[in-house]
Amino acid sequence: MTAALNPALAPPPVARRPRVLMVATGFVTAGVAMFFAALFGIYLLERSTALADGAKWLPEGVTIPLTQPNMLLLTLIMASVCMQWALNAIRDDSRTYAYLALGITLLLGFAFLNQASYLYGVMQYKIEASTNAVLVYAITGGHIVMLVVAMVFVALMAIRALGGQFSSTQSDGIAAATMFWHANTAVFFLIWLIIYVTK
Amino acid sequence: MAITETSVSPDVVEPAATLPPALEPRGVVGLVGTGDHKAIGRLWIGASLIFGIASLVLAAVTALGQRAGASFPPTDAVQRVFVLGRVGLVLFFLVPLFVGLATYVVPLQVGSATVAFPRGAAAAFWTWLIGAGMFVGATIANGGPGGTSKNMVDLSLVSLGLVLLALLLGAVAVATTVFTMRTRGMYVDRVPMFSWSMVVATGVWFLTVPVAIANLTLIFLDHNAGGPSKFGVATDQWGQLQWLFAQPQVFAWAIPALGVAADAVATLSRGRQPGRGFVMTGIGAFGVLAIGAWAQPAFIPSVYDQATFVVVSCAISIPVVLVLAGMLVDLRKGSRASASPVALSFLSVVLLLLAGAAAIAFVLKPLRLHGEGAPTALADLATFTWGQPAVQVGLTGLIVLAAAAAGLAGIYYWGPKITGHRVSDGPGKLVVILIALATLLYGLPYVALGFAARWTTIADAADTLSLIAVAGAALGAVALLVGAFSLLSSLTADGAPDDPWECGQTLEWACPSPPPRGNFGELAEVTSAQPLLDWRGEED
Repeated sequence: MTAALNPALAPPPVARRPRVLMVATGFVTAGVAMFFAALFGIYLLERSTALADGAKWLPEGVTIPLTQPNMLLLTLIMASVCMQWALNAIRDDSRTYAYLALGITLLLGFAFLNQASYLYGVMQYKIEASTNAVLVYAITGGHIVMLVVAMVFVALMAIRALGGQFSSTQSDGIAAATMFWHANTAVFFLIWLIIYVTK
Repeated sequence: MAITETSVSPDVVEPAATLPPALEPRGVVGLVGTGDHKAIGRLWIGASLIFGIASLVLAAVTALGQRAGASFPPTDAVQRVFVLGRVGLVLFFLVPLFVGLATYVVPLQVGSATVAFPRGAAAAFWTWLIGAGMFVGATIANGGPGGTSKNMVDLSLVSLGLVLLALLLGAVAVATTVFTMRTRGMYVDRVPMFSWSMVVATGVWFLTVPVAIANLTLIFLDHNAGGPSKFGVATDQWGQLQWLFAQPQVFAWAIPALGVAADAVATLSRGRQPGRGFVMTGIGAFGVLAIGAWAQPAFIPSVYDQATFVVVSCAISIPVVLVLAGMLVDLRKGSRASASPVALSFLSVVLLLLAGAAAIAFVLKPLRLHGEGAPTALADLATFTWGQPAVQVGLTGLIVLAAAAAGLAGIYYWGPKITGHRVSDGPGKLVVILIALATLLYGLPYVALGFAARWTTIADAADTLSLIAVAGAALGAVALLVGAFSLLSSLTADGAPDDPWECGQTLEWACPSPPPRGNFGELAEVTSAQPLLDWRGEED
């Protein structure tokens, strides 16, 4: 018989839940990565097939500029830096900087949404135009959904941080949100490369 | 080995605290608002059994409609019935059954007071139920992949996406429980096999199900707002999703079956598992080989001929052999070898091996199971279900019913813990026979039909084979009915003790049946994979 415990200890202690959010976010991030991997795979397959058949990939009249996508990428990279800043600040118990960094991250997220809607207007891409358009909207739209989810996640963690739930000894929620935000930036980097740069 | 005690000493497991009855929500509010993993697990199990029976009835109706000149079901409904049956068998029955068992059992197995994200687990169940209901409704109303009603097709695509997301949410709650909420001393290599299999399954599902959601997104977008130009074209919709119900992905839905089987046999053989490492490796390797999101014939028509596909198809049985070997080594003690959970567990693994054999046959080119090079009429028989080879339809049937055998083994094995009453073993033995017959009669005729392009005598017997499949599906539905009835009828039986098998090894047998809120009190430190044997002071 191993260590018997003192009966006076009942009721049981509150269960510790170390890194619960981090582990779950890891699973979700892997799932999101696979979602985009599938869409990128189909996009590249369709594009290479079309080009091999001598067809044009972009429909007539559609232009994909690079200036706005560059700004979008820069915006998300800055947001990622801010998110990492928030994590480091909370780990240093620098609450003021953590709130500031989380706020700037959310602001940059809104800026991204604004720029993305402008880019859609510039591209004049009709979804019924072609397979290409369906794929572009599925990928970029999927990324916007991911960004909105990431923003909600950051906002919730910010509220919890304001409530004093995170500190240098417990930064699980902010770390999970940071991981998801970085994944979001990585996905957009691939969108920038595959859709906007190589077209 | 000698059994010296039938329950764990009370100084090892402190009683759990319970809320006063007045604080426990009751009725509909209690049901809908519950975050108790046991209540959520029961909801999953009950609903999945109902869907399972309905799906098998639909499978029987599909087989009826595939006879030459059949007037029932109507020709325009055959595809919808087929799709509903396929989706129902896997996503409304098999996966939810395992998620339900896991939601109930896994926190107990790892010594946790609750599941991770209890509200998330509850949301997963209700989202799944609503999504499944919407999919059934939309498909009946002329929707479903390939349907003719635009709005209903869109609704069915959205609801299918909801179902997939809900299943992922339910699975991630279970896997996170295993990773983060284990009791002291329970390292990952000490978790029970079912918990381990759910971790592997969750990993594989997270790597593959999002790909299906990507497929659904493309189909929906093209169908709803596009031309449709390609993905949303009615005749191509099911083709983009059929990889979910074909090898190797279809094996991924059965990963937890290996865990249930290994746990039930290990416990009921009353000894420590000498081949535990092999079984864990086997389950992990099975999961890796079952990742099938890459094998999409809709985008890669030559995928069945690719070397990777052939290798995976041939190798997927090897891990199952490893698990079976581990179970046989456990069984050498054989104290309760005749109990229905043991028989159902072995049946499940053997049937999975049979499915593995069918998977190997599918990639042997001389057998022409893809229908290639045959006259159109014969090729249509071999690939009769809207481009899905008949062998794959049979393979799905074999795997779903093989895994259902494991699910039922879990119900008989953990039944006392779930209901709080002893579950009679007699009907379980009937279930063994019924499931064995159902699997063979439902799955094998379709596999045989795949040979129609090779041997015309099989093509001549197509109608007979369809009728046999009808009988098989009906028997499968009866088996599930008997299993559900066993669980319900046990509610009038005597109360079950903490360890009704009197040989429990893992932590779920250290708490009352059913466990109170909080499951355990303070648990002593776990020092091996069989903590209850340690606490009883038993050597092997």
